[in-house]
Amino acid sequence: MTDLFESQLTEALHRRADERHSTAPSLAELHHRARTVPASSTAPAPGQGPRLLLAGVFAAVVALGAIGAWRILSADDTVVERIDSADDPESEPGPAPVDPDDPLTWPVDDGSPEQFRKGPNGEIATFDGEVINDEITVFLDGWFIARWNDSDQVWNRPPAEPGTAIEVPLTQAISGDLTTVVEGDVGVAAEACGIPGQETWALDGTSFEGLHVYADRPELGDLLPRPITDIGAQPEHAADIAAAQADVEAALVGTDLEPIVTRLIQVDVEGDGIDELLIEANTADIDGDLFNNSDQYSLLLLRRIGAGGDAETVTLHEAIGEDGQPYLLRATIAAVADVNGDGVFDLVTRDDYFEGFGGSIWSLDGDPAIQVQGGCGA
Amino acid sequence: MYGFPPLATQEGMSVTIEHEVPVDTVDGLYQSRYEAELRRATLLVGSAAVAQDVVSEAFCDVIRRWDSIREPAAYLNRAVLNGCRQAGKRRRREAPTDPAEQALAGRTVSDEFDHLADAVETLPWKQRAVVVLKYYEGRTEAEIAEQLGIRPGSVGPTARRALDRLRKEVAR
Repeated sequence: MTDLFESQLTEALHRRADERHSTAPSLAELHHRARTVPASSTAPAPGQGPRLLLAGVFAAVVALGAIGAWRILSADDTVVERIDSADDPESEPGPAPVDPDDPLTWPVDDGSPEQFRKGPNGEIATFDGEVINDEITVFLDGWFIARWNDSDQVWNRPPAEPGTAIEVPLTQAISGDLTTVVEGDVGVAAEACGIPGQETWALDGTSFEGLHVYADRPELGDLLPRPITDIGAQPEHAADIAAAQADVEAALVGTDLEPIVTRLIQVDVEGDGIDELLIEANTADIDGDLFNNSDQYSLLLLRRIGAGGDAETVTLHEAIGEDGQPYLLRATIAAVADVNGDGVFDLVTRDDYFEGFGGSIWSLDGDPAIQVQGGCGA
Repeated sequence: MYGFPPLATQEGMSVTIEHEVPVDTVDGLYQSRYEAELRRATLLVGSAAVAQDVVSEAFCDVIRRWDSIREPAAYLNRAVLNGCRQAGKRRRREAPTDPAEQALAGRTVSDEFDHLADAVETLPWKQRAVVVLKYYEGRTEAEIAEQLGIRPGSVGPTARRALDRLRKEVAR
């Protein structure tokens, strides 16, 4: 139903269009210009599939790795270790100590670019606030948390100042594009599009805040009921790596894109004694001209092995770029954990978009996998 | 509410839009779509001069590729949206140079409608595009998702966030 404000918005837009729009050139002028001026770069690709210069991919991978903007994680930098090490405050710089008697007090982030840590109340993946102002990316030093507790998805943002601890009510709700609610107290909290001010954390002139993926423990059980192996490039897993590359290649069939596995995680998702592979393949650049090229893609695959040894690969996420199109969603594995306490591992991803970011929780025991999303511009 | 003058008609404010007008000649496309694209682009980039550049460039692309384009109107539509997005990024870093725009930029906001239209121009690209397509052109969420290349489920939340922001802005 259209309310009064929306009607006024429509009227305001029509007035503005009437007020400002200019006179169209003649068709003859346009024909002349078409003959004399080179073609633009904004034209949509006319129906062709994405094309790729392989050297471009290698250059992108090397460049991104060199500047650290894109993390190709090794076995020493695994999801599991990220979660576990956050439990041990001496293993790496973690969140500031939290008063155990005050579960509502939250730590202050240390401002490093990306952190995936288990926090004191069970959050399993935390991304620092990110400000995208054209070419500039800034990371904020604050956290926030939220969760949904009903179907209304009403968002309540705790007031906070950058760099300060905040008090977080245990019952919050989140906004965002929630396609499905996963049972259990599980949430992806992300609200980035806000007007900087007292009630937001955004810096002046910016509009993006932090993202927090959060699981309300401990009544739901063990976050990590079974071991997880981040295979990386370990040679003893050559067969798994080859299988993953073959799956990525199959997903990219019909293109010239080179299959590049950026992360490979071995985990027994359901607890049936047979390991699955979570496959991430990303060439998408989150810096610069975001996702604006046909040489970029983002894939998330789940390779299941049946009791009879038959392999089946499920596509969780697939995005392939087009020249001139910024609309490629880049999904990156942030954590693997049993978020909702049902005994089945869930996948947590960070989702980057050309003008914002968000997060998803993938419940992997269904077909298709259930995805819960939150975010802004993602 | 927000101090707006009453509208003559509060109901039925949606605009009659000729969706994907069939065209089979360049002249037909020009007659049916150019003006509409120009108006929409003006809202999307906040500048008549920039909009003129974007739309004329997109239309010239259509002329050049006419024989290979299956749906010229859709192609023009997408090319204009692409151009507006890119032009909007450039424009945020530049002061207006057109005397008419300088006058507008320096004017006192004459009424709440101006204030609201100004606020639309401050929205992030995705929100601005959704607002213009939804409230100016009267597009459905499915059409907006298709045109912007976003998921249909994200259109509604984006529109709501944009409205929240606009309401706060006009309430200042």
